Amino acid sequence: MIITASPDLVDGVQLTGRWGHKVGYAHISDGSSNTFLAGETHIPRDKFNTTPFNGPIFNGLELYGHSRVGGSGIPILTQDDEPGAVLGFGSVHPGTCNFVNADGSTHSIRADIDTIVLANLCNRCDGEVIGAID
Amino acid sequence: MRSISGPSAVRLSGLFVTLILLAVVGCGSDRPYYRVNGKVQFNKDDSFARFGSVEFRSESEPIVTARGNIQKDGSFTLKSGRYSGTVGGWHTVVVLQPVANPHRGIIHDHGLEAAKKYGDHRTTDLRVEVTEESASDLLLLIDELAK
Repeated sequence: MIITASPDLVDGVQLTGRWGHKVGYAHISDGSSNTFLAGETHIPRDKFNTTPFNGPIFNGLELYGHSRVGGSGIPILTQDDEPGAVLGFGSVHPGTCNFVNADGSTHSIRADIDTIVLANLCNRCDGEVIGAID
Repeated sequence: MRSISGPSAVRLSGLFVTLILLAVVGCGSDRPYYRVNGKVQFNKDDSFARFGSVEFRSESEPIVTARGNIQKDGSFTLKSGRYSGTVGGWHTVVVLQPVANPHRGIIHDHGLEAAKKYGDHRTTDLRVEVTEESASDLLLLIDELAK
């Protein structure tokens, strides 16, 4: 998901009560139709409601519980796949994973999508514009 | 009207069935998969990677990616979706070793780290040809370390 804001921290730990940075549509230079806003998260079968795989979204400090990364080495997985060193996207749907693009459109993406294309879609400003994705 | 019967008809029927089967199977679905396992090692001191994951991406279409986690002894085994291993042919290889320490103060002895260039298929210089003979006991050598 696009992290639209993160907490301002002192020494990387102490909350100040302010926002550290903010991301708006002006920052999505690849275009809102070419960028994922959010997607289903990979949660291994026996890890529901268990951090860091499935933590509270309201905890902005612990991004691992609800934010995900996609790209080289971080493919879309199924709940039966062992998680990698970085948590990625995934779904209980066989062979697909659902995403919302930043333009509000929804897409069911094949789980075997090329991880370079997945990286392009997950990066809002890499200069790589993707055509039809489903 | 001309009709075909006898042995010629049998041969034509056989050809028709073959064409139908080829259409159903489709191009590329017969690409052989080979079981792939190996180890990730650092050239600097011959030590093995202790964490992270590897991903192979086929250079031939259709693109197939296969992934495996690096175990504490540096070993990995590839899996591609529901298949063990990956397709034959040349692949670019990514070695991903992310290090995050959000709470600071927690120190892990995770051994050496591969340079960032190995973490992206567009920048890695690791390439492997997967064949029936070469698919097991691969050794991925890392030359550059993370700064």
